[in-house]
Amino acid sequence: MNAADRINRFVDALIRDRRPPRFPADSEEEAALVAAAALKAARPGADLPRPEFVQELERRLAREMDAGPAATGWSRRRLFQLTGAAAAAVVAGIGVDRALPRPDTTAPIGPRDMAIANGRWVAVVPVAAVSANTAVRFSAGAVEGFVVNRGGSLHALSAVCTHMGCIVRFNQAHSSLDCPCHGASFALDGSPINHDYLQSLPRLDSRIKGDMVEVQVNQA
Amino acid sequence: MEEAGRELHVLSPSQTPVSPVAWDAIYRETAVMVYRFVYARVGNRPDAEDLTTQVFMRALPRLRLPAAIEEIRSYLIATSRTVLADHWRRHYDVQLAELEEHLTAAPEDHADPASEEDGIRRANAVLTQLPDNYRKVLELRFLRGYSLRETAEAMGVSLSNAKVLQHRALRRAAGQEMPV
Repeated sequence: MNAADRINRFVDALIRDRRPPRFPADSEEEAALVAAAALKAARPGADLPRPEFVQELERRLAREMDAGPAATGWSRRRLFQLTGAAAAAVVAGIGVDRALPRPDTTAPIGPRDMAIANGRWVAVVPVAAVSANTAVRFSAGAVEGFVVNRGGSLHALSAVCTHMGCIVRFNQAHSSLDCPCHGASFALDGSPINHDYLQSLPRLDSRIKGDMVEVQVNQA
Repeated sequence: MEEAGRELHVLSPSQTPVSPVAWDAIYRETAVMVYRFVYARVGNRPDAEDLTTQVFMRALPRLRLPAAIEEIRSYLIATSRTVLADHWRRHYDVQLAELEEHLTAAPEDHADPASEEDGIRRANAVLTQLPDNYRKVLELRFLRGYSLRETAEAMGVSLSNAKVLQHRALRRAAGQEMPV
């Protein structure tokens, strides 16, 4: 079998998303294989992981961590100390995950997805500013969010995309919240539209007081 | 029942931002990034899943605290490079020096959430620099998922010609700035 045949078998496997054949490759051949891998990954959406894989690996890691500090130096309860501005976005992302049911439970998702310790209420947007089927952006402390009006009913959502933490934008034409980074799109109730594996945008605790929408944020 | 992850605090901008976060939150924040980084260097799901698993099994217990999320990302990417180099060396007998040339040619903007679009844009840039036949064979194969036979028919060449074209096109593409 010559190099063109070997590379063709490798490419065939990549196109079918299967494990490619193994063989000793010289330097030029290897460069062609790496180029093939990069081209395959450039096909839009090809390089997104299966949600089942992401969940299964998390369970596997949890078992490792549960083996205890003696085995791994870890325990499930060990916490990272996150520093830096990006920590805020991470924390906002987590509130969601931790408050949502685990994948293997069936508990309903409550109206409040974001767990905030020692919160205080902050007025963010006038009620009158949020017309039907629109969303108005606000920043309050470390919370980046939208106040959303769905057919007259108001609520607040986190504006942090659950994919990789970019800030989503309101798309008036489609009444959706779109992420500028990778094209994720969310309905005004926070649910993902075009990528089922994504978590919904978390809801924030909100209330109407007087003519203002208030959102609960962390105690400063 | 108490869960560690519930002890979360939203940061106020005035404080020094230090916040306790459970490891699984780090995992969820970085899993997609690591997977895509690995995928762009193996080009198939089974290998990408195996290697992503190795990266987290190896890196998570070794993370030092406290760390900024950017540092955690960098550490995960460095671990990914090591795991990828092992993979290519073991299965394709590739020497480390050659590999480093390809695997570390990667731009350092992997933490940039826009890098996916960059990757696609750069792949297109590579394709547009190729001679017509080379570009066409790669577009049909990789972007449209044509079989070699379908590609040969679409291009009006023989099966063996298509195979040779594909080989030369990939070698030429490898000689250019690749989107890895």
